[in-house]
Amino acid sequence: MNPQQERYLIEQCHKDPQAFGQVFDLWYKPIFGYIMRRTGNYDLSKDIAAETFLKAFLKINGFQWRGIGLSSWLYRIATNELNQYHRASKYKPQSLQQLLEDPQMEKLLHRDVDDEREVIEMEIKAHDEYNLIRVNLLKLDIKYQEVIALRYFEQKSNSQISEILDKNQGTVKSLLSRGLEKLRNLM
Amino acid sequence: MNMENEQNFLDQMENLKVPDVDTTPHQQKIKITIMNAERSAALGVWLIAVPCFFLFCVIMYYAFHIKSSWFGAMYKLVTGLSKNPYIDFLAPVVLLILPMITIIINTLAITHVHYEKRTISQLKYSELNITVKIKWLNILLILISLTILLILLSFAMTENISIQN
Repeated sequence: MNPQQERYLIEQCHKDPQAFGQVFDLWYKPIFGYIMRRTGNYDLSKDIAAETFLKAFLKINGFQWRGIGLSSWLYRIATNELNQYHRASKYKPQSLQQLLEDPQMEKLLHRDVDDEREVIEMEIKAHDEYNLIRVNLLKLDIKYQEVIALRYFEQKSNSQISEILDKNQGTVKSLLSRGLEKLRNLM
Repeated sequence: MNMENEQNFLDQMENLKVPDVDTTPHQQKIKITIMNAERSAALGVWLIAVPCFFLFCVIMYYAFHIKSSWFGAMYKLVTGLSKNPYIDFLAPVVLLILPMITIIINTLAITHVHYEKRTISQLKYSELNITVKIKWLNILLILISLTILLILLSFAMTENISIQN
């Protein structure tokens, strides 16, 4: 999706909240994948992804086009949620928590997932090299985890990473270089 | 040697094969949940905001004799209703029903009733669990509505007694 189309989609979302369905359809899979590849935990990833999109849905009216793309904005929310998870001993998705108080919503979100969980976790386990890197990556400081995961798990360019993390490109390059050095020493 | 290792590791990272995840089975469920969020959130806000505003106006009027245009119009409507003998029952209904609705909605929002049949060492019994969540806003609204109902009830009783006397 080019910037022009993204801008149009944001305008649509401002006019009609139901247009957010398109944002969800376009970016749910990559965002869930990003979270899953960082945590390796299906249930946690689902909660973080749902919280990310719920926050985006509730805040889309305040989203203005200021150089940061919709995709980077979603990655930024997801990254912040992941950081919260790393900081707290138990992750609590704040916005999602209110929805989950409704038993119907809770059922809808959490039922019949055993097969899917198994398939996704098998897929994760099948990649030995990636698993080794992910496990060691988790031992690094969060600032290195972010840049390395975005660069090598999600194939994002330095400029995209700088947009997502709201850091300048020089900082991203230096974090990547130092992070890789630390990761190499761990392996 | 170190440089070679560094280059090898960089190549390994560049060519890293990462797992691809299929989200199709649960994606739609999450979408439905999220797309309904605003509606329920908006409804929740209105259910709390409208009674709150009404109660605020009542307090301002009776305690400080401040009449807002909205409350003034409603007050006129209610007093107008009581003058008409065919629809005079509407005024107390409106005054009674609004706080009652507030009480019901807020009580439902904070209570959870769960019935379960259990068996412990061959002893079968039923269990009824009633949980009350401590949500101060809901509890405050219930208390204010109860106070209004009590005031209305005591007012109706004293009026009745004074007429009989």
